[in-house]
Amino acid sequence: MFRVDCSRLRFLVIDDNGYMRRIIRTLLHGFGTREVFEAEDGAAGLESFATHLPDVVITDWSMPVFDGIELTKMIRQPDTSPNPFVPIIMITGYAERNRVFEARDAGVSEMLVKPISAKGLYARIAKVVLNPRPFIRTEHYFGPDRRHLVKADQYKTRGAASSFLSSATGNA
Amino acid sequence: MIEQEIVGDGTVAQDFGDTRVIHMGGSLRAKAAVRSQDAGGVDEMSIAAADAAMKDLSGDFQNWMGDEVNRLIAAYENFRDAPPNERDVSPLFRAAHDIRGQAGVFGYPIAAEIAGSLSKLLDNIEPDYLPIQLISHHVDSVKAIYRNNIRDYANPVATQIIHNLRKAIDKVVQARQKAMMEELRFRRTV
Repeated sequence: MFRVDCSRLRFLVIDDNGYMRRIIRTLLHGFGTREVFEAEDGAAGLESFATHLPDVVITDWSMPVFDGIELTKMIRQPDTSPNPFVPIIMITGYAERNRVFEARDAGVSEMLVKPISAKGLYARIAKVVLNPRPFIRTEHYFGPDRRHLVKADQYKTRGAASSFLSSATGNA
Repeated sequence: MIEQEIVGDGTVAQDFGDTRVIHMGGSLRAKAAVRSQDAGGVDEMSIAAADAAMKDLSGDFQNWMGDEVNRLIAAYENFRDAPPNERDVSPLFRAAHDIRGQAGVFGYPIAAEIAGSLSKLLDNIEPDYLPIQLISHHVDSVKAIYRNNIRDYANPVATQIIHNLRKAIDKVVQARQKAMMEELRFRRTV
């Protein structure tokens, strides 16, 4: 069994609300993280993303001018982004089904609906670090596989790649 | 024929026609995963440390909630006092939405529920049709919850406030939907 050592990870937190940033930073420091960068809107977040190259991005959805969905779409540009594969955890007050689908279709890795808790945040970080989903690239989408429950076996059935994948990723 | 290639860092890509599946090489896992004795890989010590850090911070929560409530009141007053054709609902929506998300952490779950109701109202009805009285009712309710330090759902005043608000909102939303349907029907017949 594995756990995540958060002291080895660099986080970028993007939220227009200073209190929310403070809460997330407090939780991350509690997990042992030393490197937490902050930005207060999507545009500043994108700049900070390119500068600091975080291991995990945590972003709010609703922000003025440039929101979390637009930010995610920018980060998931496979040909221009410094790291289009970075895990993106979206923390939001939106719990409605259509909103969840919208976030998923933008390329969000995991969602965490407010109110935020230490356990909930840790679970999302563990998921993106220990069990990341494969990425899909089509003409109209680039991001984590939108089918959350896909098993490695389902990819195997589509090709004879099983042993190759197992050895290459160590993660089949 | 399925093509596959190693694209670096242990990452493998498979092509299925116009779809490429990219299996990550696990570099992040290699960087941060450590063996654990905890059941289910949950790091109970880290979670307990984060909870303790939040508890230290919680002495500030009442003041922070006060700031958020004042922001909501100011946003509402600006919205209400602006000429109808110049009303911008965004600051009011964001203030309500922030309370919806944070008040639970601050220890005011009922205020979070009321603010959630307000943000849904602001999100679902076009600005020109927003009922000012109902918005005012929400803002006053959040204010009352905060000023009377009501944190418990067992409080009968809180229960009554939530019940009344829900009824009032349903009524407004249904009336608006009915008006829209009638407008649509009218347009089809013209």
